[in-house]
Amino acid sequence: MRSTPDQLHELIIRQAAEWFAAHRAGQLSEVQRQLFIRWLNESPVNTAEYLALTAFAEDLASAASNVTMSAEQLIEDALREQDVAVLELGSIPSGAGLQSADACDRVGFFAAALRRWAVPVLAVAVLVVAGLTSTALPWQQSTYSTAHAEQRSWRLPDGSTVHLNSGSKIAVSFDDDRRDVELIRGQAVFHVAKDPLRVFRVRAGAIEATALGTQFDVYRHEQTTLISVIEGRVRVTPEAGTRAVPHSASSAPVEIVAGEQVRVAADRTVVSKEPEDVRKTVAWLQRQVIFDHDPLGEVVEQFNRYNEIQIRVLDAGLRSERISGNFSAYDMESFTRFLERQPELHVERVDGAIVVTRSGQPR
Amino acid sequence: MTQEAYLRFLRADRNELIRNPEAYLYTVALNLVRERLVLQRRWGQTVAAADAESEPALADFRTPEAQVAAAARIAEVLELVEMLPPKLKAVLVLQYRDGYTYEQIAKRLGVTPHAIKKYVSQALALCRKRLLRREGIDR
Repeated sequence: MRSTPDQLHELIIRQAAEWFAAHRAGQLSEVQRQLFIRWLNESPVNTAEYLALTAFAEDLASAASNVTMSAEQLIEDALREQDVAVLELGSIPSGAGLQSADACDRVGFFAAALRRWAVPVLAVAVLVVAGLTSTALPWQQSTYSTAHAEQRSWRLPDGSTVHLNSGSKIAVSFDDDRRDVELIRGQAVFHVAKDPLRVFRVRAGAIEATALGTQFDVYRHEQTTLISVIEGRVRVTPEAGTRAVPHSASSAPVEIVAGEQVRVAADRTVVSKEPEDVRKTVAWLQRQVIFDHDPLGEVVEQFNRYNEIQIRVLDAGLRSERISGNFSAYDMESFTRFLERQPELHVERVDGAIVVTRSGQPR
Repeated sequence: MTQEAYLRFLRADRNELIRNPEAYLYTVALNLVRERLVLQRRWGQTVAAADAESEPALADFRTPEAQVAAAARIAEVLELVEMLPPKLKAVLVLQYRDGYTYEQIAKRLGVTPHAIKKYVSQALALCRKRLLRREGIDR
């Protein structure tokens, strides 16, 4: 049986550490001193934990001298951590394979749950902490969505920006320890405001992305999810134990950087290091559809996402014909004229739809 | 012992307490330790050679057994530090090994000193929690 400090003690540990750090950040104000005394007087457990932490800090001074990494290396690693986004497959992160940033986050997650639980019991204690940190955001949850053929951007409560592509929906829940976003459907680009103490997580079906200051696109399809990194770094790690083949090559961690893209399906993870692929995937931000030797069927689907008038290509062979071009996503007219100029295509406008067939073929 | 420290703390001279509560808490605790050690000596227990030159510090009262225990504790703390995420590890080591101030660390990491304070408290709390959890498993 695994015995852990009880939840109340976890809260006290956190408070003691906050007071301890506050004492070392400079002179406490008169009010803070009073609050600190009140906190110590509140319970012998508070006093005990503070003394234990002091003893721990003494050991820490001895232990730290045995750390072999240079100051420069430590700083470099710390700065690098800021640019790392961690992607997790599986809906709930487990201990296995998690990166450090996420481990850190789980502590925050737990503390948030603990705090909510402890509020009625420890109102005074919580006030003390609130007085010290004063950065707590009220718990916030909301959804953002776009209709078909609509694109919109929002500034989220933490300063991050989300751009939603046509027919997309996200649910956002933020509190002072977490920034959780669920991509319910569609495609979104997140420009994540840096906040190292509150990781920014995006869940899209079976995939979970944890970002620490980066910009990336998540495109949720029915069977696959496409993650494209515009800025920063992303690590994709299949969650251990949730796969039929947990140790296959396809479930090995994959790290991708800006300009790279990873396509995650149920049974495999494919990385593209073609910056052009990322450019195409995020072209919707500039309201562009870019295609370069891409199947006509896929290109038409892109346009159909953004427009009320739908293009229909019924011939399967024709759908796989490759075409190239670069159009505004909303300029269906220009795209239609482009199709009309192709000698091998016949384009007909019928009842609010555009039907494309092979030229010379009876409709 | 902390129970005793707490009781004395509650009886504290209010003026002294309010001027510097943290230091006052240490004084109370330290006095208790010293009293304990005097009692131990009277009872003829082994006491490591104390440094007679200087003001006796807590460490000087350590018995050989206590010194072995301290070495084990420090090894465990080192392990906890190595386990920390890079940023939290950097913040603790730069402060405790290299003597950086919060401001100096903040400058190197490109964040505010307030953020460093948060990292420090988060790092300490994480270590304490893991330490207690381990003790819970060992028990």
